[in-house]
Amino acid sequence: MVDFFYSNPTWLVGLVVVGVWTGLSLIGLVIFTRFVKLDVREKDTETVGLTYAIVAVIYAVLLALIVVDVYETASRADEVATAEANQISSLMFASAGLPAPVAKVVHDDLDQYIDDVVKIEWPNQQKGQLDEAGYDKGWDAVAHLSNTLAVYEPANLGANVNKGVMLKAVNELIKARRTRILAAAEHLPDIVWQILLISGAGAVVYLYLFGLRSFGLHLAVVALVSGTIALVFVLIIALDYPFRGDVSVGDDAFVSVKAASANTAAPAK
Amino acid sequence: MLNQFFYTHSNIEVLLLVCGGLIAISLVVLYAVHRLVDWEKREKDTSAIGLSYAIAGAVYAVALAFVAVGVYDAMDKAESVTTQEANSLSSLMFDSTALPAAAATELRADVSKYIEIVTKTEWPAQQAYHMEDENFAAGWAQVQKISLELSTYQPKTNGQATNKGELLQDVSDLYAARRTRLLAANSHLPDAVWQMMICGLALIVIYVCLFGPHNYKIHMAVTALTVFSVAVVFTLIIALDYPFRGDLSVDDDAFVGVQATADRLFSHGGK
Repeated sequence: MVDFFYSNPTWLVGLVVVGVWTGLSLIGLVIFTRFVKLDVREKDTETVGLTYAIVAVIYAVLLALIVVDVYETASRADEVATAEANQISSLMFASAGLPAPVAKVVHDDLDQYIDDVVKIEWPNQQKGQLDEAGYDKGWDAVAHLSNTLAVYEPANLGANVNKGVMLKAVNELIKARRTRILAAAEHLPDIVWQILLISGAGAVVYLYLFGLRSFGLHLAVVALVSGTIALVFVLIIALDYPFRGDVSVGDDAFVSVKAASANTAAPAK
Repeated sequence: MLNQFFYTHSNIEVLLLVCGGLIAISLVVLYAVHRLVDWEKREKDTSAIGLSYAIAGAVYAVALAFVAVGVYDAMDKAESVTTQEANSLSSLMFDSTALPAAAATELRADVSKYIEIVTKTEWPAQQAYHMEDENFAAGWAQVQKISLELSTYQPKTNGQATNKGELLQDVSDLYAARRTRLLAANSHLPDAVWQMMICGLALIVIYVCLFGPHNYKIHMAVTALTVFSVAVVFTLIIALDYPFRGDLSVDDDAFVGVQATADRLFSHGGK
């Protein structure tokens, strides 16, 4: 069920969410108006309208802030992916200071790592397949790279400084990688969704208490409010799970590092 | 006692208790106001009450929503701190390959032991909110052991000295992240904020009771729905508060992941 929301295009998810939510709201109104007659509600429409303000504001602000938060999470995920690619780029450049055989091993490891990330990890993340095994090849490449640098013995102080910088970059790469893997599994907690749905239902039911003389107009009001709420739900779904689905963090940063590396001459030393 | 209840029961039970309790109290207050203040008196001034209610209600609503999102942000930060701590452990595992074989194996065993202490002792203690120092003493001792091992290690070459510097930096990051995590596990919404939110709700209920609708059932429905919308947000705040406590809390997946990766890469004690 949840997979449907993240494995289909946003327009389709939007149609389903808006359609179902609005449809249920209208069915609720039809049932409610059968049991609570217009003359009972009409006299108190003013009171209902005035008191609705607080319910609407609480829900509107909460909903808006959650959208902003989900959007920020997606932005942070983008930053993490960029940071990871930046460390790869730094290592590519810094490898020029290594002896040719070591530099070649480092280059090959980094190329292999980018291929693993772009061809295996990214498609898996977009499909929501986040099992550990999918990341094994990437970890192997990083472990080999880390070990190569750790055992490399520099011939002079200058080379030693270079080694220090590269070790730091590998550590930052590992941190960014792990943060990215954890971020790929991040999503809005279930309790937040439950509260949004329950509060949303409360906000819609409140509208039923209004006593509009025209039932058609009452249907329109309920449809418009519930449609607006559903649209925000669609936005949250689209932005949630930052590495999954149609709207997700792309692998452009890695692809551009790979392209830059291909355009750079092989380390000459 | 109530606090204990909130974090030992499921969210749905908390939701039912909070919503049910607050709605029941508000309906009792409505009934009392209805008896004490004549309906006709209230009915004449409903418009004026409604207009002034708008500002009071909006201020309360915005404050409440900001508190809810603030608590959610705090949970996000707690998750980041946990990731940082796990990242430091991961760096120690990877950087250990620079040490002589015996020292590398010992360091990895110590890091694994630390992860075991965190996941098997500290995490359950945090979830049960048993934040006494003795529950975290073993973890501190283990970090000190790792730190001592590395600081007494004598590198023989410049390259090894550079590696040592990186390892010491990892331990230093681990100390900082661990301390931040323990502080975050203790943090929660101040009592004053809860008091203000509850007092605010009381004022809102009184305000709603002052309206003078013709139909008492409509008045009951309006009161119940208003309190319900606030109570649901209270439940959300309760669920998200104390980021390491209870059912909905930061999990130890980051640590488990580090151990799983290390087991696969270094399981043969190799480098």
